[in-house]
Amino acid sequence: MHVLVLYGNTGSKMDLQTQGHTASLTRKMLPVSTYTPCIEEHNVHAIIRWESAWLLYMAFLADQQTRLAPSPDCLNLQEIEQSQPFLERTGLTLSITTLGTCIYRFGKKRRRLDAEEYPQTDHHQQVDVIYSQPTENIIFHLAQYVHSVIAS
Amino acid sequence: MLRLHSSDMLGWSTMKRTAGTKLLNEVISENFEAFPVDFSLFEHGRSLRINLKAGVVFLHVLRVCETRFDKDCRTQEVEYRCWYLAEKSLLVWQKSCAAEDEIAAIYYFTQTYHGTRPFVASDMPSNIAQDGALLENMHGRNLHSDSCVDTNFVGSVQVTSFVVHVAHNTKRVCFVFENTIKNEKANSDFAYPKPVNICYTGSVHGNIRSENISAEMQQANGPCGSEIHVDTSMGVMQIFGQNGGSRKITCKAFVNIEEANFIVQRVCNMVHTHHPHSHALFQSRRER
Repeated sequence: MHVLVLYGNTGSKMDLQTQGHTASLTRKMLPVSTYTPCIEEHNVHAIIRWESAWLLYMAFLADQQTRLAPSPDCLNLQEIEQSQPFLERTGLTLSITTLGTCIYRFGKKRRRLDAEEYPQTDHHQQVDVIYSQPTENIIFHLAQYVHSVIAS
Repeated sequence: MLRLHSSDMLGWSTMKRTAGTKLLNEVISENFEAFPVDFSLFEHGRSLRINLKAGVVFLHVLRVCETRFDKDCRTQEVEYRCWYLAEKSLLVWQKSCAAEDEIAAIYYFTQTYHGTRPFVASDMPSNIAQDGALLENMHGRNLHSDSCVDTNFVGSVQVTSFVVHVAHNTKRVCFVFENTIKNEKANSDFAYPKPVNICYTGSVHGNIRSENISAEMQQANGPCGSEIHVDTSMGVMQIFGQNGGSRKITCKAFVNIEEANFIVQRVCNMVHTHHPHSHALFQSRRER
């Protein structure tokens, strides 16, 4: 998978200021992210970036309040573990508007950040990473979880 | 629009768009001057009563939700009709509920009138209180039906009640004018994210001859340096040049890997790749 884009809506108006509800909620409920706030004069969307989809999945498993099942249907532990390397190398960028429109973009981590995180690895070498139907189902499920947090 | 401020988060949040919150937003925006700027909640919540020209609005904000996902807004629209029985100093109220999904129900109440002047229509909104408080229920029957005639009919008033369930940590509610309530595009309902575009990169192993591809596809070179470009109803597949024993392929604008694999398999079958490892290996991706 090179890039995976999903579209959703929170169904409510969003407070996207740096000191607003969405930024506060993101800091409290989800792993560390970079938050680029909405600047009213220029655009009406904020951008939130997580460098590891796997860390998001771990946060999801730890969330006691979520109503979503811990994993997508018919997934076993082995399939989840097999997806870990791919999810660790995959980031999520969420673009969210003040009207509640959300665009989720899962894709490869930026090369520079990858190099910082795995300094021993030669990043010009190819690395085998499993991407399968279960991996994709986890990504879909993860997007639903992030969406339910952002919309709350 | 209601903006909710909580004790443990910065900024504000709003209720999800539902039939109930849409109606509440409309009432707030159309009668914005009648509402306070904001109000703080007590331990269990707070109730507000707004008298409008068109009727009465009750807003009950209850801090009852265990989790942040349970916020909810329920509404009830009721019509009260009133007769003034001057000789008995009585008001007779007929309350009718006609929710779309409920059976229409009619109730009757009496209320002693202590005023020194005749009761008139403009007095009705301020006189309506909660059921069972000032009103004496007549158990579904109008005991004064003979006295309730056109000549002493005062009028009718619409009462809209909103019961808003918010999280325990909500401490304050603000009323904000919203000028986009009629704009459907600006008021989409909640929707979980759905895939709209997925691009896959993979390899097809085996000796696939260009002549086979050209013969089957009858298509010139594709964009992005690809040798062949296959448009399908599920997405676009691009096959790149021979590289040793394999070819790079990309599948763009798909919505799940199952459909991408299906297309790759079909194309491989069409170009007669009989090598045992001739399928696209999306499941064993090689990533730089």
